[in-house]
Amino acid sequence: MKFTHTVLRVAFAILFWLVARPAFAHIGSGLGGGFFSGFSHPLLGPDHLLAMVSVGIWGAELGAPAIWLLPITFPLIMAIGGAAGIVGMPLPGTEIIIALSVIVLGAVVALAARLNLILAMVIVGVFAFAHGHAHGAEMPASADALAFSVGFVIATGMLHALGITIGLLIKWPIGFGVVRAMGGLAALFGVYLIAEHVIDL
Amino acid sequence: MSSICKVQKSLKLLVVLAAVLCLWPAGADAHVVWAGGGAFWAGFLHPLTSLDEICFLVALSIWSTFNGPSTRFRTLCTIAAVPGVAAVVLWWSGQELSTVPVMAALMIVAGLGGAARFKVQGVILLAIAVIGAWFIGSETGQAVGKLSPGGFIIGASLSPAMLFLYLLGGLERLRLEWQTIACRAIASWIAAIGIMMLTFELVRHRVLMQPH
Repeated sequence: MKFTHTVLRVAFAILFWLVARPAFAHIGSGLGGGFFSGFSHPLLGPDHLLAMVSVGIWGAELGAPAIWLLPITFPLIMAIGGAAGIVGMPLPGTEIIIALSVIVLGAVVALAARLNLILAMVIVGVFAFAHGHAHGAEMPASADALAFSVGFVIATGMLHALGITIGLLIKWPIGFGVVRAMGGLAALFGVYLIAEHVIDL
Repeated sequence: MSSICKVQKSLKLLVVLAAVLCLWPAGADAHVVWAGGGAFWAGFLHPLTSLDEICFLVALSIWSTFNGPSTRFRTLCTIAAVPGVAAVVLWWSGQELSTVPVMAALMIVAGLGGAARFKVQGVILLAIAVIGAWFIGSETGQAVGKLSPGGFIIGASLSPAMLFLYLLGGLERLRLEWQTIACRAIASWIAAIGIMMLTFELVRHRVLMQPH
């Protein structure tokens, strides 16, 4: 009886915790707001998240030096794209390119494509530019620029590191299959994103 | 034993001595002995709460580490000496200097240098260290306000040197390949942050215009 009560209490506590929503009285401004805004931006967008994790996984599949070269290239080119977004340089079809990045990067992970390193860097660079452009263009005007940049670069780096860690599963045959399946699912999600944009248009 | 290890050993000894002095029983003073104590701590914390300065020092320490012990020692001496001089000059002249765009540009240069593990002549790295240290000191000189300038400037000159020393000490212990790669990745992140920051500053100062 006592045990059932305890279980009920815990269940209710979890339920309330899951349905609770934080109350935000202010927009993200200043140093803290800028960091949080920048940090959460890649994490809350599934398109950004999948693309960046896929870059890490693909790097792990390709092995050295791609395992570290791709995740180093991505933030740098992304920052240049971010700069273009801040300046207000137009990039037509940014969202389509981002959705396309999820398809392509998911597909190369699923196929374990062993492309030439330069070609891999060009593919990653083009998509990084589009992702960065979206970050820069959507940067809140009230946010601290430095804190925003620090937040989103750290979040991006963490997602690459997560991708590399997942990619290390390829050492085992089952893990290799799981990683490729994950790539396939990411590519399918990219197709869904493209379809969504086409319907919106 | 390298010079950095010697300095670290001396610092450790100083910390132990400070701890002993703290534990020593002392009389209760009703008055503050040195009014500059608050200014010292305010100055000490000033560079440590400035993200651009920290990012630059981290990138510079990574790049210096890849360029050999003598370069490391020279950059350390620069970071220890120049900020104090710059702070005094800026405080005394009362000039206002826009430091953020320069710090952002230096973050890009030092970040890319560290990420690419770029081997350069010691003079080039030293010049970058001098410019960076000068602007770190300039920020200090402009932030003195109504605080005691002596305490504030001494504190603000000490903390970048200590931070840089500890960074170099930590980086000297890199043995595994993945640790070096991680440092290069961090340097590339700093360059990326610098690119964003510089662009934002140029837009803010209307050097680069937003079309809408």
